[in-house]
Amino acid sequence: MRTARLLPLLLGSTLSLACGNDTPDGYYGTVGRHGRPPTAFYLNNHDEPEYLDPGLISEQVGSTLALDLFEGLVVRHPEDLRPVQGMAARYDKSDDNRHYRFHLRPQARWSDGKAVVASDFVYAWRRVLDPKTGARMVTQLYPLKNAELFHQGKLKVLSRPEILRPARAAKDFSPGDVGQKLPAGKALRILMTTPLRVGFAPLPRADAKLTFEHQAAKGGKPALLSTAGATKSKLAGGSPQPAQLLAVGPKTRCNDQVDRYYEVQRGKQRGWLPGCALIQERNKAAHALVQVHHDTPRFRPAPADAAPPGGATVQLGFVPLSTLRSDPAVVGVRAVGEKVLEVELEQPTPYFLDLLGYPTYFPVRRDLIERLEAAGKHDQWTRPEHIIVNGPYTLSEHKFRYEMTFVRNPHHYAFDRLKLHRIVWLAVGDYHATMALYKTGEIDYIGATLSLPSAYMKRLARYRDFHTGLWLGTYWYEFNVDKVPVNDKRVRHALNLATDKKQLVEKVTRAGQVPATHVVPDFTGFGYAEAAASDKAAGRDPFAGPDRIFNPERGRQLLREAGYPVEKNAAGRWVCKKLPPLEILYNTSEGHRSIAVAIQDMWKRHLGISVSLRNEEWKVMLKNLRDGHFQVARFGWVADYNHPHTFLDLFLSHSQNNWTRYADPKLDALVKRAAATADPVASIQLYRQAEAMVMEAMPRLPLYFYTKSTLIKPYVKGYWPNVANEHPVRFMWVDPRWRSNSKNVAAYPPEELPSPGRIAPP
Amino acid sequence: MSRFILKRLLVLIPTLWAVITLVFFLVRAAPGGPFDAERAPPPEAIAALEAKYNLNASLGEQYRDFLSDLVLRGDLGPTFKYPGRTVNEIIADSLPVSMHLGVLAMLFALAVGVPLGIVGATRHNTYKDTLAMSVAMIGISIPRFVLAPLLILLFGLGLYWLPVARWETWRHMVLPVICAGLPTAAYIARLTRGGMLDVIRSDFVRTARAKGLSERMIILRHTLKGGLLPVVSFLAPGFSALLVGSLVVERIFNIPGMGRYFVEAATNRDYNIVMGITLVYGSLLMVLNAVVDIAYAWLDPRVKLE
Repeated sequence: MRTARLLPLLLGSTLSLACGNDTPDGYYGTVGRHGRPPTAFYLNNHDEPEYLDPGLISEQVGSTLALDLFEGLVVRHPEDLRPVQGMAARYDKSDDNRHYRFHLRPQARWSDGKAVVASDFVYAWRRVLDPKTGARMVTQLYPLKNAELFHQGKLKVLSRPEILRPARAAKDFSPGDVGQKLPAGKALRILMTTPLRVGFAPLPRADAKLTFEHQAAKGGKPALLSTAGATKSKLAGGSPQPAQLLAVGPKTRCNDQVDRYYEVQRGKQRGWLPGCALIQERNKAAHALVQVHHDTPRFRPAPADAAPPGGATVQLGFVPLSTLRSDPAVVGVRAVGEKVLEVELEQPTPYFLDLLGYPTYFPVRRDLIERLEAAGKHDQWTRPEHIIVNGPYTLSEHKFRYEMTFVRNPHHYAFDRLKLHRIVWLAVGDYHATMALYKTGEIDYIGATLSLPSAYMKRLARYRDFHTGLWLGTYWYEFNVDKVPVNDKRVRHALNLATDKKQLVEKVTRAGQVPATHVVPDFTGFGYAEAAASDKAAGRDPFAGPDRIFNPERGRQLLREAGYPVEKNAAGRWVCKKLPPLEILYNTSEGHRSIAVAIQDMWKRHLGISVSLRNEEWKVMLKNLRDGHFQVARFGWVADYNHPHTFLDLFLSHSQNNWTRYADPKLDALVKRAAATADPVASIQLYRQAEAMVMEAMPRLPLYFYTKSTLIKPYVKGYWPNVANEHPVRFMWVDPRWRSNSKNVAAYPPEELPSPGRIAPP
Repeated sequence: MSRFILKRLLVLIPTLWAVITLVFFLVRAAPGGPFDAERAPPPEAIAALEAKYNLNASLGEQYRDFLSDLVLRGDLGPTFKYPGRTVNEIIADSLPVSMHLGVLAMLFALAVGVPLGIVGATRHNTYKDTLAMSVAMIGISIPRFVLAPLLILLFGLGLYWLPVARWETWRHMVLPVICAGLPTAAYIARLTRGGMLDVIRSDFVRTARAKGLSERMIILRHTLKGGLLPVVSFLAPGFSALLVGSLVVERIFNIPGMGRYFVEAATNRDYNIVMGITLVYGSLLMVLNAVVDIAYAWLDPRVKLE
């Protein structure tokens, strides 16, 4: 610990000494290149990537490399991130934004010379969605029709014709259709399997309570198994004896999720239970309770007057599990010939084109992956001796955790236009070493993945090769809304009002961060930035009122209202004695600590409350967040795509990343409606409303929007700071005449996508 | 002698087994798992990964599989953090680098420390002794994470003589070797001086002097061998301390050695690497200690091998 604190201090003084020998023109270190040719480029990528396999990448170290090794249907422009031509030269879309047709460029080739075909994409996407692949960023593919159900193993097809065996059902199902013979290939959605067990094992969180709505069951009133007031412990204490599923009942909510009642028989007991109280046993289950799923992709928009598929009734019944198989054809993507890819989405998803530029959507080579897996070499196809890529560069050398060398892919369409022929990526984890390497000219760019410590910001700011840009991310404190005293909304608001975020970014973080009054950064794309700016200009910024911005007086008042009086003591300081103990949890890091200390001080000064601090190693903290063992915890989010949905998704009751325990069905419904709205302006307005709703509930206390600071030599062209902090090397180049030529252009101009054609209903 | 060596080596096996068993269960008892991440992956993805790495089996089964893979095939299994790479590969890549650095640093430490100690002992209580021992004192007191940036600042960023980081040519090795070896050199200097002073005052040295042997002969023939005994017994713990301490040097100079896995593997919950590191360093330490015992017996006839 002592080492960790001393080190930056000492190195800070080292640095200040070292700054003595600047080049006279105000750059950090040398601007000479040691006789290196302008076609070679050296940069740091901070660490060894976990994966280079684009479908499996989940961190920036990997995606930074994948952006230049592979190429998706679109490429994002290095300056403003707008989608430009990638593997697709043009596309068509339907009026409802749910159907897309991509036309691949005729000259698109893999690095072994084979043509890139539409089925490469189909394979790659289906592979990511295959639960066995274990892709961590799989949710990025959930906008595809049926992708989520398929990935969760809930949507299967019949492998042979089968009769739907009757299940007694509630009135909102049609009993008439039961008993009919379903053809092979029919898509069925699995609701529940049987035999099963009664219990609570797979609850989303360790501390989850069983809360379900009894009143949902009018008429044929469902009774609970064993007793009417069944509690978690009583049910869990029941025998592990298997139970049989008999019938399906009306809808309910359990643990804030949509659920249904099911009738089960266990020994001689028989009664109704919500689905969340039933454990499905994969190995023992013989039958599945299924619902016929008519909503399979058709790749054409339905005529406006079309009836819902399958009619208004729900066909439901039992089938043997052995007749069901997994079939990726239920997912909304298909190849039409070699060069046309058709996509159907679950809902309009305004950011879909943006998503296509992320590695999860990049194509991979089926023959290569399957050949190596057959040889027992899992995860090894991205090694230099095997790898086949479709991006501008290919991996020629890989020294594990030391450096990677890229050379040009001779079959890439931009081969002749790339100005950098050899890219060397170092994997230097230490920022002092990185800065020293940069200073001595060993590297030309410190790389997108490395973060410079806040202590250096002021000193570095005077150099001309130091750049700071806004970055799509928000730093916040999570409240556990189940824990006293932050279970009280007034207390949460009081803490927010007593946090001087302006001072925090000016005095503590010091890298030009933007104080945040809300969670979605003001500069988010797809019309959000414009909506935020026009709201501000018109004086109706929903996040600017006296209840949202720094206002300690109002904060004290709210604390008093919540029953925690704040008074001035003899020394003229505010004291709030009655507030139960409060603790801020953060993961061990100098930066997080100084922020926590500053906030501890602000809350003490303005509200008179004493907060303790607790730091934990990262994985330990993640576990405690998951299990709800915290009151206030440091967290943050960097956008997965340039759209407000990536932030608001985190507030939904079913989000894996919602540690706050905040759940509001109204918010879930509103975000769902916003996502389903095809008109982009109306959609963003709904997202803004949803954001106002979460800020009213205050399950997270936003502190600031991120910035990204970096050092890049002045002779490097084709680099622009952008909000995604995404800097493909393919557009960069070294300009030997940089002193006389100040114009910044890309190595080759990105090719704009022509405006899309229209997919009309049949 | 050979019986002694054999016995020492046989004791290694149960000791190592106890150590790896303890570590095996301890590291798995730590809260949080290898696949916890900032972006919580869907449960289906976690389940697939756990199945892939056999983490869904019971602890007993995992332990049995681990031991049988290790004993029968010398296979430490895959890493979780770097899929497609095995722990064996990682050790094979990084251990030689750490050993290279460690051996060079030790040689440097001996080359600097022993002469300094001799000067201190032979010029006892003169200004030369004081100077040599002050240098040694400073060497011991300055931690490597302070020394490294100072060296970088002076020779890398100030004079532009030597590279500031990485592990390529001999020029890249100079600073890390000095940085790793200097504190050890200082320690060796003090040990040499102390050991020699003990011997210089002993009867057989007085006899040698009385016989009229030259001072040079007395130092080289008689006192040095005996005076180096404490240094020899320090070599094994010193060398292992160098390897363990390389964590700091390797990080600051970006050397692709094994040191970084010490902390990283545990914080990543990369169980198999933790086991690999334990095994490598555990056996290295024990072997080195055995070697010292044997060398001791050779240097000092009073030590009996039993």
